[in-house]
Amino acid sequence: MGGPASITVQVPSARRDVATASLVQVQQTLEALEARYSRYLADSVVSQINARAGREEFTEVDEECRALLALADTLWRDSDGLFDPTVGVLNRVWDFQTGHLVNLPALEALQHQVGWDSVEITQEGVYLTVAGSEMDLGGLVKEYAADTVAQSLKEQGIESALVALAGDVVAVGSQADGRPWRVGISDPINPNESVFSLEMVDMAVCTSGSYARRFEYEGKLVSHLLNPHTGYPVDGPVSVSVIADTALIAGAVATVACLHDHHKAPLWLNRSGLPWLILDAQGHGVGPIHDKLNMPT
Amino acid sequence: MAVTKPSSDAMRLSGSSPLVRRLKQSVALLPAYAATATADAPPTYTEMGLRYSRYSEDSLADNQRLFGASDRYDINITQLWLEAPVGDNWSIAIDVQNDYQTGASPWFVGVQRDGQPGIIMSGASIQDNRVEVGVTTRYFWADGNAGLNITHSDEDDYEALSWSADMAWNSDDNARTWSASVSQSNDTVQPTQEKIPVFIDREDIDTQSAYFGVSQILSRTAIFRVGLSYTYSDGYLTDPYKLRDKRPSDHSRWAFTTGYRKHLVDMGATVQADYRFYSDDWGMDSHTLTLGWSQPLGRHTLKPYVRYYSQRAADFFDPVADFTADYYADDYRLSAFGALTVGLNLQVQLGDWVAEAQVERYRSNNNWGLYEGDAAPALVDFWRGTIGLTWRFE
Repeated sequence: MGGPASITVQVPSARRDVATASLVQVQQTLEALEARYSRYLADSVVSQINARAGREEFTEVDEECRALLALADTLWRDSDGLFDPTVGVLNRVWDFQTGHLVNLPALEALQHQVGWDSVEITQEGVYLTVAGSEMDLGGLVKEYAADTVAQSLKEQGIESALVALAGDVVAVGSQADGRPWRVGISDPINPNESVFSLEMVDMAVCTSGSYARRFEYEGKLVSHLLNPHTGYPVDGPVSVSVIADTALIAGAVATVACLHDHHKAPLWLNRSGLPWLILDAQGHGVGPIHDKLNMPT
Repeated sequence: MAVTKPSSDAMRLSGSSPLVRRLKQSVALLPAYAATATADAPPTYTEMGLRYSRYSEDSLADNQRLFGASDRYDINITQLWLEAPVGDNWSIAIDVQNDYQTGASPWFVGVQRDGQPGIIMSGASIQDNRVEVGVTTRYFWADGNAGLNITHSDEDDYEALSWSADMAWNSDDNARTWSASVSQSNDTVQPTQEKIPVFIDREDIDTQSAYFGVSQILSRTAIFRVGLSYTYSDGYLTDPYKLRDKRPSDHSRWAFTTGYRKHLVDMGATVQADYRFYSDDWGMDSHTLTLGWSQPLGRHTLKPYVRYYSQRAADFFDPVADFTADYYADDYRLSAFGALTVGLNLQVQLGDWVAEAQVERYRSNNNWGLYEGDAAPALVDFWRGTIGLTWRFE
């Protein structure tokens, strides 16, 4: 999944074996999801879809994959195309270390390979109609993995657990002693420190952002996220946190917020009706969560 | 360091914005999200639509007609509707329909020289315009929804004001939904005397109805439903434009309905079957069986369907009415007959727009029915075509 993973399970001493068995299953679940959806593994369904781009060959997909593709489709439509799982090919023309566009003509050529509307999804399966195009469901799968792990733990009778996959955190119940789980949101200036904490019971919080991967472009620090319409970096929020009852919804909303510019990101977040927080590069915040906490601006 | 509390306003998870509801619908079938799927919620978009239909009855054959025009009814129907979410728990819908009707209708049935019944038509073509406006408001909660509708319909010779209330509620596992509704309509008929005489000035009709039904999700790909309705009308139920027509002043009807939907995963299609049995205290029974196939074509959908209908005649129906009886009617709609409808519906998704086209052919014949009975000479055949455009936005 490309990031740190932490699963905390609290059970009475007599049920330690249940906790151990559940964690083994969690590992198997994560490995299975990675095997199915990682574009770095040749046998994954995503890699198979990408390998057949432009060859008029459909790749069969199961109901789980169809549901994730349906979510991607909804996000693409509702974000006016800003969320686009086919945008990844454009990363080839940017050097994120130096902040340079490597090859402008290459960017223009690759633009033709970007576009979710060129993806055909039928009862036969999935087909990328443009040769050279690629899709990447990594962002959605990571959040889906967090929810799937949480669901798996509940099905095994675990009532107190905290699932943290990089910036996506799901709280199962409260802690065993009844106290809420306490989750920290990273300070963009000092990512190893938290700028504030959430007390969580049966909810998820996802943080999307580029504070660790920003670079200087034309005198401004911009995100590594690229606008699919232009191929250029998005001048958007440094860090967005969203709270929802599932990581998939929280993460999807947070991710799309980061694809908007500074002015439109709050509008998108308000449309969701979910609690949210935007942090700038100096750790200053805006949003309903910030307002409620009377955090410094 | 600032700390939020789970119970604080900032942490209150509404999750019911149209955007979030759309996202949840996308993944509702996955086990990890079944519990968070909102069983009942306002629409996720605002929808506005415009639809035009043309209904055209076949002309009468010369050997069926004794006198009068051969052209029957043509009706042009224009519908405009709007449905929108209001806040987190409400929706509102407005429907406006305009029918413009021209043509002639059977006035009465006489006897031709060869002894066969022949139709005397109503003479020159009538022109009638009807406008109907309905407003529905609906409230949604986690386990169900309830709606209230008020509709007013007005034309030259008929006015109707009706209201209805309905409710649907879901079981805890969302696998079963119970539905119930009641309605009341107060109508006034004031026939216009033009080419044919009429014998009433103004009369009233009151109708009440109730419905109760259950739908059950049988599996992830199949759903089944049953329902029962009762309708009672009293007032002037005779057709004022038919010379030989006298009907009871009350009318009780029952209808049993059932339906089945099955999604065929391998084909990506859905098969639909619906059946209705009707019975009333005028002696009429009917059966309706509809079979349909919904086939996705990329983002579009094609739906062919076929419908079979069979009706038993009303007790007081005769092809040539016996007006010495207490009640009598030669109206073909009360005769024994069978009918077959074949139709095709196409929906084309164009971004935020959906274009729709439908064509339907209806043929009826006394010999196609399941019940014995004398044939009415004026059984109708018709074509119906529809085009529509729907726009959804947030």
